[in-house]
Amino acid sequence: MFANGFLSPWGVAGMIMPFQMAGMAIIGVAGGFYRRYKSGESPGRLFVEAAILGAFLTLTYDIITNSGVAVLALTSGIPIIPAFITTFITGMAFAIIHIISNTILFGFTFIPLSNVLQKFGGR
Amino acid sequence: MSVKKRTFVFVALALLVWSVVATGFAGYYYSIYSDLLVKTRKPIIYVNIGINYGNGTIEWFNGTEARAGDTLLDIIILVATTVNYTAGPSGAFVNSINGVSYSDSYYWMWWMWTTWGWFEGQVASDKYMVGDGETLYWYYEDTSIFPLPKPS
Repeated sequence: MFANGFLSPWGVAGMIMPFQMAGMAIIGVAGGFYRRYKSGESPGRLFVEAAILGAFLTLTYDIITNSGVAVLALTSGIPIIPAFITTFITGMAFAIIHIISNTILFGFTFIPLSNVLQKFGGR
Repeated sequence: MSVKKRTFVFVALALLVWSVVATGFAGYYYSIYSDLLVKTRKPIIYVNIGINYGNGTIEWFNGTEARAGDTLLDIIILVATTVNYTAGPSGAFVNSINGVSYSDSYYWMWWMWTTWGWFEGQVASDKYMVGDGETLYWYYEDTSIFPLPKPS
C-alpha cells in the first residue's frame, strides 16, 4: 500500500496514506485469520463467505480512509461533525461502487487465487 | 467453529454491511435531493465569482446572473474571456483561465465560502451545481503545499 500510495494512477495518496495502510493491514490480518477456517468447506460456501468478507472489509477500509479525509478537512478549520458528515456523504457514491465490485471480485477470485497461492506457497 | 456459529457470523456480517450501505445510500440521496431542491427553486440565480491569478491579481464578478442548474464550469466560462478545459471521466479538468495555464505544481483549484470559512471544492467544477447567493473562488495556487493555501 505504501508503494501504491506513490504509483497509483489516481496520483500520490498524500496524507491519507497512513489510513490506507491501516485499512490494508486489517484486510491482511483478516485474510490470514480466515485461512485457518477455509479448509474442508464446500466451494459454494467459500464463495459466499469470501464475498461477504469482501463487502465487510471494503466497508471497513472505506470508513478508515474516509475518516482520514475527514481528519484532513479538520486541518482546514472545519468543525469535526460537518467534516465527517461532508466527507462521508461525498465519498458514499464511490464507497457503494467499491463495495459492490469487491463483493463480486472477492467471491469469484477467492477460490482460484487461493489454489494458485497454495501451489506456489506449498501450504 | 461450528457450522451454525459460522453461518451466524457471516449472516450477521452481511446484515451489518447491508444496513450501513443502505443507510449511507439513503443519506446520500437525501443530501443530493435536498441540495437540488434548494438550488432549482428559482429559475435565475446570482452568484459571486472570484478569480485569483496567483500573482496578486484578483478579479471579482459579484452578482453574476446564471440559470438554475448551471455548474461552476458554466459560470467561469460565462465570466472569463477564455477557459480551456479537458473533459474526463471524473469531470472537467480546467487547464487555463484567461490564458493562465497550469504548470509544475500550480493548478486552478476552486473554493467555496461556507459558514466555516473557505472550503476546498470536492468535485470537478462541471459536477458542482451552483446555488443562489453562493460565493465561489478560482485560485491558481501551488498544490505542493500542505495544507493547500486558502483564499485570503
